[in-house]
Amino acid sequence: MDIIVVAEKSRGVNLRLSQSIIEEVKHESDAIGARLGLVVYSRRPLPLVDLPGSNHIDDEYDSCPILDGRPEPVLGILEAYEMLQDYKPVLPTTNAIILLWSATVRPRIPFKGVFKALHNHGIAAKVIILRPSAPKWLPRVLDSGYEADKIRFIRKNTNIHKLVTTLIKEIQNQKTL
Amino acid sequence: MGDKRSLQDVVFAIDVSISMKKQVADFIPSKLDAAKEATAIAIDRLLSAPLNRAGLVVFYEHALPLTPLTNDKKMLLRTLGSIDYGLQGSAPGEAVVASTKMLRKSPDSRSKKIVLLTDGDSNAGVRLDAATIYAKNMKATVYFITIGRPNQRGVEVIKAAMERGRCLWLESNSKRDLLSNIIKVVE
Repeated sequence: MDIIVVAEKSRGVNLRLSQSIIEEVKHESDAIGARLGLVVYSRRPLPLVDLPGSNHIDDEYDSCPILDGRPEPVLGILEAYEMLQDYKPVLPTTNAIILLWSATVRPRIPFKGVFKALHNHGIAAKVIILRPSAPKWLPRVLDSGYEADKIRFIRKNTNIHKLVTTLIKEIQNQKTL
Repeated sequence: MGDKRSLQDVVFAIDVSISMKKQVADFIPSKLDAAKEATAIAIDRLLSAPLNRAGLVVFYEHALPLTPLTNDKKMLLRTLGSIDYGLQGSAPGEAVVASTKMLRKSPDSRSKKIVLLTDGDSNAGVRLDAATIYAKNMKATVYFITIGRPNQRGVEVIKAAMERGRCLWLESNSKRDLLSNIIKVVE
């Protein structure tokens, strides 16, 4: 299984929260032997750890400086897609992208068609929004066909361990292409 | 025969921003022409070992890979010769990312190098220091070969990158320095 974490690293993100989610993803992925990659983003995306690289994505996220500008999650997803394609194994495997997004500012690039395209390529997309509820503009930037229940919001009482475990299980049950 | 040096994959990332059009010291007719001349000599030396490979990237506000990693010297030199000035902006961070991606398929047994030829301007794209973390994770060494003395901001940007990545800074204040620095990297 190949999983790319696409994590916002802007001034507006709760670094402690995103760090704790990344640590949990790393822990759960190690347990099932998944390959992990890390892309960080703000206005521009930056691959930080490639799939066959080290599995220290938590340390690498921590060591990366804050990136400038308005966060554009779609660019981060495209970078992750490119990484999945570049490291495609010979045998079919389960692919997933986990997006961590503060959603504090409306991005300029909408998600229109992005999730559908990922689905068509057999890539599961999981979105974790690092705030308790959806901003008003969210429906206008998301795919109309994208079900709202696929997005997880982080509330005060959210159990991060449980959230990530459920998410990884969902990915495991995904079809391989 | 009997050469025990490891095989090398080297990406040359050349700054084609407008500021490279200037003539400084003995970089005649321009800094870019001096960079191209030095790169041609380095490619010639590098590919004298037939299993070594080189790649070319140019950057201004964006970074563009011009060739894949190859040992096709003719193609590399022809492409190098066709390089012209770009537009406004200079994004060395994007150049490091594009160069590192070119090294994705390069086996770990090879020595991976990125040679950034620039006058040190940095005002666009992803942060250079963050980009060098990615290069380090991919086991690539980044060599900053500066042409002429960079401005204060350029110096700060390079120093910050050297703290985070696996980088070396080789200053060139004359054509002779430039040539000796670039040869040092590929030998």
